[in-house]
Amino acid sequence: MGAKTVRRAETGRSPSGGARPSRPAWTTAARVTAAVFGAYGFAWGLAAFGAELGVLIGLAPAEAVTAASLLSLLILPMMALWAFAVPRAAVGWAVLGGGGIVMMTASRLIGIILP
Amino acid sequence: MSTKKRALISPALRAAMLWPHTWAGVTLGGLLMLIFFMGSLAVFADEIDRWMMPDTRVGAVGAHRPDAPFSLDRNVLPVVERLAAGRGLRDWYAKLPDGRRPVMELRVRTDGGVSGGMATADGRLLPPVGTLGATSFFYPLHYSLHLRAGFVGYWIVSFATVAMLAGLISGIIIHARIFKDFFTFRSWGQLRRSLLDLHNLTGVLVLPFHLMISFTGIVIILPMVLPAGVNALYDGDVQRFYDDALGNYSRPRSGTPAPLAPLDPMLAEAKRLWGGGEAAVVFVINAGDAASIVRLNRDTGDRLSLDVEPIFFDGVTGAVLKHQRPGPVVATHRLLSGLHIAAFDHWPLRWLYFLFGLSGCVLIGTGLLYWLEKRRVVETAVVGLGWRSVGALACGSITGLLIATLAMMAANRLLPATVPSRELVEAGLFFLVWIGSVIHAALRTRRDPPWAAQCWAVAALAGACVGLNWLTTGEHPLRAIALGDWPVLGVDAVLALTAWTAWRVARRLSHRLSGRRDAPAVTMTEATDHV
Repeated sequence: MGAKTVRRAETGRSPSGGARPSRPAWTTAARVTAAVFGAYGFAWGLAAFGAELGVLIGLAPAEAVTAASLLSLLILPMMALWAFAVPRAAVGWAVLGGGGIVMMTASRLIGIILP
Repeated sequence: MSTKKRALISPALRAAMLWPHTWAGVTLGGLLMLIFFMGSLAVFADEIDRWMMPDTRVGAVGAHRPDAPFSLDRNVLPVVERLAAGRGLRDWYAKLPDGRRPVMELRVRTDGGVSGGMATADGRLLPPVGTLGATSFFYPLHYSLHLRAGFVGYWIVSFATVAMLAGLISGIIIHARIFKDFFTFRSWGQLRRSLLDLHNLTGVLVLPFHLMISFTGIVIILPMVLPAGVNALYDGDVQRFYDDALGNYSRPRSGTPAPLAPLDPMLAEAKRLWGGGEAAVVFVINAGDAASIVRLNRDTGDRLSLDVEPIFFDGVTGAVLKHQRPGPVVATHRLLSGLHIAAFDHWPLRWLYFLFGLSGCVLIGTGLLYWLEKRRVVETAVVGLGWRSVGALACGSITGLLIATLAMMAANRLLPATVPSRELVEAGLFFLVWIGSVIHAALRTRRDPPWAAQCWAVAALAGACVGLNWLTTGEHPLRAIALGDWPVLGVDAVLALTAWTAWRVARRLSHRLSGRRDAPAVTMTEATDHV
């Protein structure tokens, strides 16, 4: 017992020991930016798309905006964490950034098609 | 069941969560500490206001419902006229007295500028309070950092709060596996262990509150920080969205003068429409104009929701222009907002909010300290610049923040009323003292941040605040009890408790520094010193 045991327990619990030391710094940068900007972009897309979709299914505009925004806020921190959990940073960026762009485009299209 | 859970949260996922958890905490911990601490103070903003504004400690006993019924026409309008001082009145509002604020708070916009003031419930204008108090300083610091331009402060606070949510969720994932280890390897002889214990304890026990308060905090300002939906459906016009969602009403000035109809019948009609609620705020927009509007907000003290049910009256005819109830989703938004603001009249819940808010500070603070202690052990006795920077920032955001807050409250009791722009001097002192404490921490952090010195400062300042309140207002605790002035007594009691606690901590830390081995604190730190 004593310091050694505790230390072993600690290292056992924190195998990463920092930012995945074996990987280059740009991977970490890619994950951090995906978590901050990618996740926000995804939430933005979902909030815009959800609002348009809500109106499409008959919600009042204020209701649709609020519902979509609340849902987006709920997933935002999870998406940000997912950017760190996904095995490849590029996949994280593709899903978050790409998904955000797709949903933003979809919301624009609905907005243009429906007055 | 446990195998199922193990499959859900793989070791790789837990390992991946540790990095964002650690670095979000280290980089944003100081800011989150400020947000949680000021938010906790904001729970008792009205009470701290009474302490900082002695002139408003009027009629603490049953002041909120005087014998004569409260009249907008007789009690409020004359004060508005006095504040306008003959200049053309454009708009004004008055927050009406309630159980926690025995005075009304008015703001008047005239052709010649804006003026404001406080008045007693019977319409006596009080001298300028000369302070922003908790309502206009500590509370806005909590949600906007006083960076109003372009909502920059809202953005920074929201960003940190999303990081807090991510930190809580990643903390759950990390903790899920170590739950067992944690209890197996408990070692109370180690400071590092104790810090982790306390970090996990507050993290687990108060987790529902922390999740709720972080989420609902962003919910309140959601249309400002995530305006995607507003952009899509309202062309980015947030005001138009709010008008639509909350049932607001507005119209431009007509230019034709017209007198204001009596306000008291409108108040009676509003109470009828609310089904018996009390009015909290009265607004008059386009005063003295044919297009004037009177808006009455309902007091939300009797409900969770922040739905103020605004009712809009035609200022000339007194007819109801608009009274629109929100839809179910917007009502949910108001409920979530109400959960955060905690405007409901419930003293045990207020104390819980205050204590849980402070437990958020404990959670963040122990996280920072744990990082520092662990790095100190892993690396050698010589600590690097990075460690010292985090140490100084932790010190500045834990004890430094307390010192700045207490220094402002002491200055509030010391500065004479004649000081020009007194409220800005007070606020400036807060920031100067805070910066000073960070510089002090940066200069003095060698093997440890200067915790002891700053704890002595906290103890001295908190004690001084109690003494200064006594000296400058004559209201010592016994007199406060005799008067039934619970707000002032409560603030004094918390200050005294802060002084006592900080004194105890400072004494223990000083003993440890002077190398005495009999104090209990030593056994906690020895381990970190000899590894």
